[in-house]
Amino acid sequence: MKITSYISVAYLAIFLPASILLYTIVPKKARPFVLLTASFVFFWFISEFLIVYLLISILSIYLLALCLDKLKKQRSAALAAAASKEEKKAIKSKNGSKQLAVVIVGVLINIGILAVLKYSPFLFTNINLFFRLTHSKLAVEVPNFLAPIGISFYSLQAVSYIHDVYKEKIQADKNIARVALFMSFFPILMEGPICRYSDTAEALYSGERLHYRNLTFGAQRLAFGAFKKIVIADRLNIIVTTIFKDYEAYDFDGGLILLGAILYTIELYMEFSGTIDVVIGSGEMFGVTIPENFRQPFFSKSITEFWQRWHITLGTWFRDYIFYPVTMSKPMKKLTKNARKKLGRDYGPMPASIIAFFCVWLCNGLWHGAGWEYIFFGMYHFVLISLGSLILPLSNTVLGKLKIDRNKWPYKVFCIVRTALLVCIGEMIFNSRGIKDSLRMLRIMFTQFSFKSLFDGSILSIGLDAYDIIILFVAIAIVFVVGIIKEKGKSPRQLIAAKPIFVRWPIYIGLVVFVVVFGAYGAGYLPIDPIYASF
Amino acid sequence: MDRLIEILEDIQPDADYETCTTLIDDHILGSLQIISLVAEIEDEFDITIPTVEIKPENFNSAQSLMAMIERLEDEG
Amino acid sequence: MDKKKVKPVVQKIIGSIIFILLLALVLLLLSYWFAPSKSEDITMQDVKPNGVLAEPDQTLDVLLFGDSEAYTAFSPVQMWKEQGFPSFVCASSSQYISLTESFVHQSLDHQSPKVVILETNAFYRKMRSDNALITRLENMFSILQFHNRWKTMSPLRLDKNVSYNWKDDMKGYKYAKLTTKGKNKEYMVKTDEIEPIQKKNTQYIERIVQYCHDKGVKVLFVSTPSSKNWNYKRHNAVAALAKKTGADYLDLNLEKSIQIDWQTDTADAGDHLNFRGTKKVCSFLGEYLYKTYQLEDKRNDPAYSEWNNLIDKYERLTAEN
Repeated sequence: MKITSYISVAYLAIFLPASILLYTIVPKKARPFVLLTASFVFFWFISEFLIVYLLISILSIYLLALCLDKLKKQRSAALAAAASKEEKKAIKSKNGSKQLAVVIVGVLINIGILAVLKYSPFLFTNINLFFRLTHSKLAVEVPNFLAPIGISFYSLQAVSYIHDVYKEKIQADKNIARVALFMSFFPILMEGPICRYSDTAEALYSGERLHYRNLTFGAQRLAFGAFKKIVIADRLNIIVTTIFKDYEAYDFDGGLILLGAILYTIELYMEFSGTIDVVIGSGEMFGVTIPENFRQPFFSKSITEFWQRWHITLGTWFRDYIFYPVTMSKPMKKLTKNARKKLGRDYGPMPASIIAFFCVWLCNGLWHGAGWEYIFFGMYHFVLISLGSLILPLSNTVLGKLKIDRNKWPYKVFCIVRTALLVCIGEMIFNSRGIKDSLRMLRIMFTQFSFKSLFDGSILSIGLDAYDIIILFVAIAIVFVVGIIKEKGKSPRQLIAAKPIFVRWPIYIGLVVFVVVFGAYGAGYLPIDPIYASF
Repeated sequence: MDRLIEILEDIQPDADYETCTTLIDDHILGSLQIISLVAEIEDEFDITIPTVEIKPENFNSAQSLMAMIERLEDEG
Repeated sequence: MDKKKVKPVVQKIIGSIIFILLLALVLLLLSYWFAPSKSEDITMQDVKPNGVLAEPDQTLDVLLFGDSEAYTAFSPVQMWKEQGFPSFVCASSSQYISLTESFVHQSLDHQSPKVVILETNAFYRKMRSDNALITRLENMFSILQFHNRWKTMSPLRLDKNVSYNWKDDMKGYKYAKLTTKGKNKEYMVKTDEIEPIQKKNTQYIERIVQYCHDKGVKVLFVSTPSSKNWNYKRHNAVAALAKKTGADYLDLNLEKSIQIDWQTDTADAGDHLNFRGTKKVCSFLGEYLYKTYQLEDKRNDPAYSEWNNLIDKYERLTAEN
């Protein structure tokens, strides 16, 4: 069996039900091992012997965390025995540097594997480019490694585990099976979310029995995720691919390129959040609460807010393990203090945070892929967020003078539309075939803007017919309404569950039938590889 | 406590720090404000706030902030 | 287990079973509704090959089947322009050989060509035969196969009779304008090795050839030039299969006189041909078919005046090359 996506017959109809069945028939104590076996089997299906890398990561963080634990115990024992303050200080600093060394080893192993497998070809290609530009005769051979799918996700989990043990947020786990399960639980393997040990490890290992409500609610979430992916994302993929690949051949104008950017953004959202729905729904069925990764991102009023609602677990990872460590480092704190004296309240924290933003967005871009277009994508958001922070105090004064109320709906709508457009342009860069390509598309968008090709029928010539477009509108409207309900703090699933059976069941059956009939699969539609799995 | 409220008001004037318990959850304090806040508190109370302490539980209200400060002062 | 708890558990289990049965029932009913009335009347789910159904009956002399290799390499209007025989490309992207079979059946109901051409790249497209469970589910719930028919069926008549009136002026050819440079490397290195064709695919191909032969239609396997997809091991396998089934075989990758230049004649670095490559292939193939199968030049036949009118439009569409 080969599983290429969570939203496939192989996973939804075979792998997941089989795992659930096995999970429930074995005794409670064996259940974590059913999950662990299923996870390793799953990993084997998608990456075969590359599972070695995962095992190295698991083993490394398990052992290093125990090592940290030992050092911490040594420290408390030594501190209790120490008499003078100087002695205590000496113990602390010596022990502290040992601990730090252990953490550095952990990060080097885990980020190191990721870096070698994913980034060395990019690095070596650019070294060669540099040699060529400087007319040097030197050249290095560009290596080509196979990286297991999902490595970008579990490597970050590994780093967070080591870091959290070091900072004493969590205790080092003496049970390697629990660490392994935390790292490799099969629903999160391919596309995240990036979980913290404190989020999932306990629940995963508890062997909790299946609950009717978890199963039904989980199944509903699976169906809705499949709906987003199969009906919307796979259908949009046809038109998006044509626009991004052949925009020059077809001579598209700026209007159509902008449309392509918007549609790609919708596709990416439906595909990624749909998959995450399946992931979280799968976890829910086993009684494991996996952290949410999306919170209606297109209702964001600023780019900063967007990143608090889109791929949340990646954002919080960068916040906790890059942004705060950088801004809270000694030199940066000093910088902030001095800057506050010179620049005042509003601009005081700017220098330190802009430096930290730069680190975060460089990493964010690189995390998405080894290529200049991804770095461009990161820098684009870096500039937008930094500018946003710099302008905020100014725009507050201007808005106050113009008597525009930030909390009134016209201004809110303006902010939402502006943010969405900026995001779409960013995703266009992200999906381009390289930095030159993205610049070319941007140029066409801004210099040859017209709505002509939107209305002369060109759209219908690039892969979708009128029926497809109607289905797209209906399906996106459904997702939009569900989004509004969630935005108001209500749970659509609970609302439906409260309805009588003759309302409830038709909704459930209707959803499945909608996916089956109007899904963009089968002859005429190519199966599409999940976008986020390759990161 | 008064010193803390003063610092908070200097950083972000429009909020009721005596009663509010959702400073982070309601985005009254953003990451920029937190950076300033940490710098000021460290200066004012002569402590070091390690990054693990930077979590919503500690920053959601003036009371919880004060509790953290006192704890760190003791450990000092 | 105490008695109080038993009841809800039983209720829940029964409820779930009823729900699943109900869902299955709805899907089965839909399968019945969506299934075409006659088994051979499977709609060609892709738009382009549907065009063949709108061609007047018994007018086409050559029918070509295959995947994207076929619709980028074969241009019926080009061959009409040069040799004057009418043909049509019933190709869809990533066509499975099973789909080819239903296309062949459907088009041979209305046409009696001299020769049927199967492009050989599709021979190697693996069908999901490894998962019997999925295939069985698909057969039972045929809605999974025919769901796209919602576009063509009218809901009130429970549509069992689709009228095909959409005509394709390119006759199934898909114009590829772009050029992405490839490398002129020798990819047809002679060998005795064979890259076997999947067993299930072989069975389908044999059935298709037999069906054509029964109708008195000759079959020709053609391998279009593709430095990315073709090699000598595949050539050997197809040549053997042709011999076994009694089909003819023409491997354009070995015809040096076509002079494909992989720097200029491909749309995507050796995968598909662009229009420049198509023209070269069609000149060669057109002449080959014309001579080998003694086709007629119908350019002066008044019944085909429409074809002559198409040339003008075709030249405009492809003018930039």
